Amino acid sequence: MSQNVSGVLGVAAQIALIAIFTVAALSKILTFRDLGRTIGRLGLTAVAEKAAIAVIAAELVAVTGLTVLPSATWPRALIAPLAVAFAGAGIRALGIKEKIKCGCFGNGGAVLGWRQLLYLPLWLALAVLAEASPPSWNTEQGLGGLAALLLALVAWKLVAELRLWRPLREDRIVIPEPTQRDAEVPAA
Amino acid sequence: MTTVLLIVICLMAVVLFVQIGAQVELFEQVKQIRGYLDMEDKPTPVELGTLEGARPSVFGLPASLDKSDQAMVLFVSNKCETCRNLASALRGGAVPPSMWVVVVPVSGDGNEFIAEFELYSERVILDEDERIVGSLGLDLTPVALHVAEGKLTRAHTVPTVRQMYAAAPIAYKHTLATKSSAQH
Repeated sequence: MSQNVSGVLGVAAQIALIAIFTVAALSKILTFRDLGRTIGRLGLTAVAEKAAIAVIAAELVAVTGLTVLPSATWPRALIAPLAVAFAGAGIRALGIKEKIKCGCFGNGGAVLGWRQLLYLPLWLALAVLAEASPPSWNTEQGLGGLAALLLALVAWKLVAELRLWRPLREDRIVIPEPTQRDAEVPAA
Repeated sequence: MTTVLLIVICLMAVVLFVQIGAQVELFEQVKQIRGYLDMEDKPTPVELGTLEGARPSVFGLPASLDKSDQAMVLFVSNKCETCRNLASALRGGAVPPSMWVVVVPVSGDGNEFIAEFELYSERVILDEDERIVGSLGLDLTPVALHVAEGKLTRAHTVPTVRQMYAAAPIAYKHTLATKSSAQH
């Protein structure tokens, strides 16, 4: 019974890590420049762009490993340095007492700080839970699940796009052409 | 084979996510630019001043408006581009209930404008010699003038067709395919 519970917890933890790091990596691709600026403001100006690429690549590698090789330890081990790096960024931001925008999940509104510190034990706990009872799906099942997750994210983004596009289209106003001299003429 | 197909789906989904994400960013920027340039679809209030509470017929508007519970008078000129857009939506005299249209001929013949958009309705008036707008002191188009209990209550600009329908006191039912004239 307890083995079943631990098995379910392991699968759930691994799926949670895959989902979180997929969203994080894809969002960072969209806000790549912002991520570079954030790293630069943390003091790594010289290597900001390279560090941004490295963070995104590491997240994508971790997601791929967690999905395709569910029983392998290295993808879960990769979560630890990433989580520590995020917490380190939070500590650094708190240290310089400056509001630094966090491109963690692509949302420019969040600020680096305590949140990254609080997330550290969560990421580590998920990795430990998954390591204690690793999932046993095969490569095809893993890829199938990842494809479903990615398509769900595409649908989510599409809904966001439609929400923005509809009012923009409805609110489209007529702009007089510059050549039309009396495009807007007072009535009287 | 299945594995390759799944890998292709994953890669395509990632590309699609990034592309849609970029479009979302683009739309956000268009929204910001519109807000910054004050080009949002928002009607701007027009101060009525001492005209507030006056009877519409005093300014040459139809006397029936004096007895109207709720009505809206839309002023369109025959030259302004937005007015043409609004008139195009009213083509065939499909004027929403309780809405009147005053065509202001700022240059040329207003009848040509009425004919062009087939604004043939008993609630479409041609403001010859700009008599009505002149007495109201109105020098803007398109403008909506609201009447409640037979008195002028408020006025605002009408930047889009959507705002024109939104300003109509009685909701106008859009019928696809067949555009019937909403008369009463």
